[in-house]
Amino acid sequence: MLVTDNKSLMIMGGIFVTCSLMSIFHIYIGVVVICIAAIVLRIMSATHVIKPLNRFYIRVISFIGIVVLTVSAVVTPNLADTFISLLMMGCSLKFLEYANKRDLYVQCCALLFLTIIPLIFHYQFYVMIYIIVMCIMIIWAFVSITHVQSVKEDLRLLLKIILPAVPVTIVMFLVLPRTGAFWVIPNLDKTQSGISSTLNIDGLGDMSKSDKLVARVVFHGNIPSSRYFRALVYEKYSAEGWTEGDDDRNKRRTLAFYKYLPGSKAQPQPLAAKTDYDIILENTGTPYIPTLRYSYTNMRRVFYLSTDVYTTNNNGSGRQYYHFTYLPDKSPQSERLGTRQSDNTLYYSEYNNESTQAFVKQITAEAENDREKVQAILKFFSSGQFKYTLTPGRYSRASFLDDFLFKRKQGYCVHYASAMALMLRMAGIPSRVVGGYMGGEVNSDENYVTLREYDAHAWVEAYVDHKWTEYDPTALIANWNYSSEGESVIGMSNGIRAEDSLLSSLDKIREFIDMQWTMFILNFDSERQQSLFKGSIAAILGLVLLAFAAYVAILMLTSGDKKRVRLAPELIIMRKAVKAILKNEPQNIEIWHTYGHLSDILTQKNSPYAAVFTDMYALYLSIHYKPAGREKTVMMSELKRKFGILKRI
Amino acid sequence: MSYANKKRWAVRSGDALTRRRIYLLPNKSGIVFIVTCVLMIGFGLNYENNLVLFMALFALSVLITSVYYSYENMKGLSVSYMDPPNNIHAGDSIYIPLYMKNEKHDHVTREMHVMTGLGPDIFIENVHSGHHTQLTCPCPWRGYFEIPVIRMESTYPLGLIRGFSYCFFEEMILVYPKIISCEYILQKETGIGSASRSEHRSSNSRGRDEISGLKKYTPGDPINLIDWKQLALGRGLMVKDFSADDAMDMYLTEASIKSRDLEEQISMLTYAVIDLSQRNIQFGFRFREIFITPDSGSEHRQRILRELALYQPVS
Repeated sequence: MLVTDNKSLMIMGGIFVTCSLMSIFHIYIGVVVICIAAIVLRIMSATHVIKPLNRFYIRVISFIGIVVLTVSAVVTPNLADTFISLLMMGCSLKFLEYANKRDLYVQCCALLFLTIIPLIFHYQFYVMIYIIVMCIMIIWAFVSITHVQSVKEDLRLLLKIILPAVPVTIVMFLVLPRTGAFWVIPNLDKTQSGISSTLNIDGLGDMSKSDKLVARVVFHGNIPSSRYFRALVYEKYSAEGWTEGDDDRNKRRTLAFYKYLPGSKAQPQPLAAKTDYDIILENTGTPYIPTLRYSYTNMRRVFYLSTDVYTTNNNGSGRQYYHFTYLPDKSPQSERLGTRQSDNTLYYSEYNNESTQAFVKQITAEAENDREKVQAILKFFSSGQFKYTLTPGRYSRASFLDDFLFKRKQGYCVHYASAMALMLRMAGIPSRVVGGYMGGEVNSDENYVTLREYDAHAWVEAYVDHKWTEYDPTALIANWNYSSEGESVIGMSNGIRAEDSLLSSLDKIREFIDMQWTMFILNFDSERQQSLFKGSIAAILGLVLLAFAAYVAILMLTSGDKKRVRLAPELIIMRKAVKAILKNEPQNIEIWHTYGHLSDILTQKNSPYAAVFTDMYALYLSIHYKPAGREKTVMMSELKRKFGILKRI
Repeated sequence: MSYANKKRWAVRSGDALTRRRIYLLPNKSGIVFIVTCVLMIGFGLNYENNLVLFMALFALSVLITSVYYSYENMKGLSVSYMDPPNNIHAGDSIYIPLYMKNEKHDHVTREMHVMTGLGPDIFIENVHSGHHTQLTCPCPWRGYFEIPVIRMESTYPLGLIRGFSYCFFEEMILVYPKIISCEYILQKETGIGSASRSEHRSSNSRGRDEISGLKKYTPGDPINLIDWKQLALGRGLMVKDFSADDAMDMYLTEASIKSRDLEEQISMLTYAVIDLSQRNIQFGFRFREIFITPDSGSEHRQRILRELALYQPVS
């Protein structure tokens, strides 16, 4: 049964369809079919093509929907998608039965909640258009359910309601305490990109084909020429591949359960040279933050790990903003190497790759210290017999080294980094592989670097002279001078040049807006709040008062009825007459409804005004409905004369 | 459930609704809306999603703004009671005519529900200044009926905030006794209450030309004695019967009807009074402490009915 006009139904349907389309990849196909069927049936019944469905059929459709949802959830278990599909289906089925206005209001509230679902997956600046449209449509739906009026009147009312709400929203947005997460939640957007927690021999290869944005790094100063952005450090090696060390892994686990654990920070040193930089990290589905080595931050939601990398305590939900300070001149005197870490970083399988083991012994036999051993291994890689390729074919995990170093001699960064790290271990030098991004597309106008998936890179760190030193064997093989500006090795091989995607000035504008959007809207957190208000209650109160003043001003401007009714002259005279009578009449006249009624009352009370007012009323009736003309003018003069008499009484 | 206990919150009839007398609270839909917003804020904070927070805060801001417009919708409205309805008998539904106007002549109050809590509510989509309407409520007892406190409410503009106010009336409506049709016999009595009657008659006497009843017209009767009202009522040509004998008046008394129950007696007598009055028969009335000398006409009828309506037995 339709209880309101079709306008509100259309608006609600529009909201539902928009939300569904925006989240279509997270709704089960079966549920989409049910939703479409429900909407089609609703439209058909609203346009009287079919009779409104009775309760039995609605229950049948609901039952089918539940079965479809359950089966879909079992086949592809994903909590977030199940929740979203359930919400969508509930809303679409509710379209089928409206009993009263309250049902419509409840449906509107459900739709209001539904509008936030796409905001989990879309966070680019153009999603603001969606937000504005949805805000207007939701309020319009409420307005059109409450009072049936023309679209023009609706829009006028919407303007009156929405405009004052804007300053209030902005201020609430600025002053609302950002508490952070109340409980540990999984990332609803399960798509993962970028560096993964395990690096196997064939790892990163797929990423070379992807230009998906991973992060933008905005430098507040000169962009460093050497840009190795460390995401995570692989210390443990096994047949499965490289994984994090025990310390880092345990720390991440702890963070996952205790979100407010105070993180150990890398302490800044009073160095002259430092460069601030902001990282705008896309939703990678991982907690890894690509940072330059020797960086520090004071952000509370960023945690420092023992391998000199940073992590966050969420799995990259949405686009994240981080601020770091880079200390290019920092070079620690010595770094601690724990027993367990030493064991991990020296481990290799003695039963595999015997040729490599023998070869390493041979080339490092004459080296007097670790540094010379490293140089000997690097010399081997730079001998010119290796070839850089992204399609080396698959290597056997067990005999990878022998096969790679002595037979096929081709591969990409993961192969070279893995080989060098293992060779160092064979030479008795603790080593590890670092996963991250290198180079990136430089936008020198805006002073930022864009990191994409094809910028992913792996390199080596060796524990030499009591500190971890970085080595990049891939750079030697690819004949790439890593000290100059340019793209990463993978990026070059992929054939995508950095400048190609940024030729258009429109792109630059878009990038700029997107970055400001990310920094000031998406990542407006408690730290930004504090920096904005500088801890001053007066500033907050001032802002609130300002918003209140704006609210009142807009209300006054919009609520006043601009339309001035121009009164007929005869009516003005009658009003003046009534005012004069009520002021001077000795007998109390409280309630009167029409001039005729007042005339009767005056007559009943034998008022001295009765006779004149009755005449005036008769004249008024004659004049009021008479077309303009000479006769009307004469009568108006008469009315004025009578009014003069009345005033003199 | 009447709103009698809300009288101290109510505005006097005819007075305009002001800030002090308009109450604004979220209705059930409004509570659902607020809960939804709170959920959205929780979701936004937990997921550190500022866009969700923005939408939730916007929705809340709109709700706050709609509070003002709910107030503005009702501001300045006044309700006054118009001319009382006549001839209301116990058991009938009473119609309470209301006149609604606004201080701002061109202001239109939207989506107005007016209710007494006793009878059906009325819904007025657009209340223009000068709007006339009427409420209905049952009226089971005779006597003075106090016009109930009315509640006016509107959920305009979003249907989430209920603006409401109460209005009380000082006027009373006299409700005549219930009518129970019955057979009755007028008592022809003499010397009843002669003292008071003589007093009464001294003030109401019209000489010996008192009309005591009606009789059928016979040719030769003077035309100026024809009762045209009876003709209009379809009772044929009747002429007014002048009786010289005022010592033998017709009286409607307790003995005229067959009942022992007080309320039933009153109801039956009410019927008889109305019937006699309609037939324009002169009669007197005597019932317990009530004594009214013979007369006819609507004033006489209303006088008796008023006495009956207000009659309270001496215990």
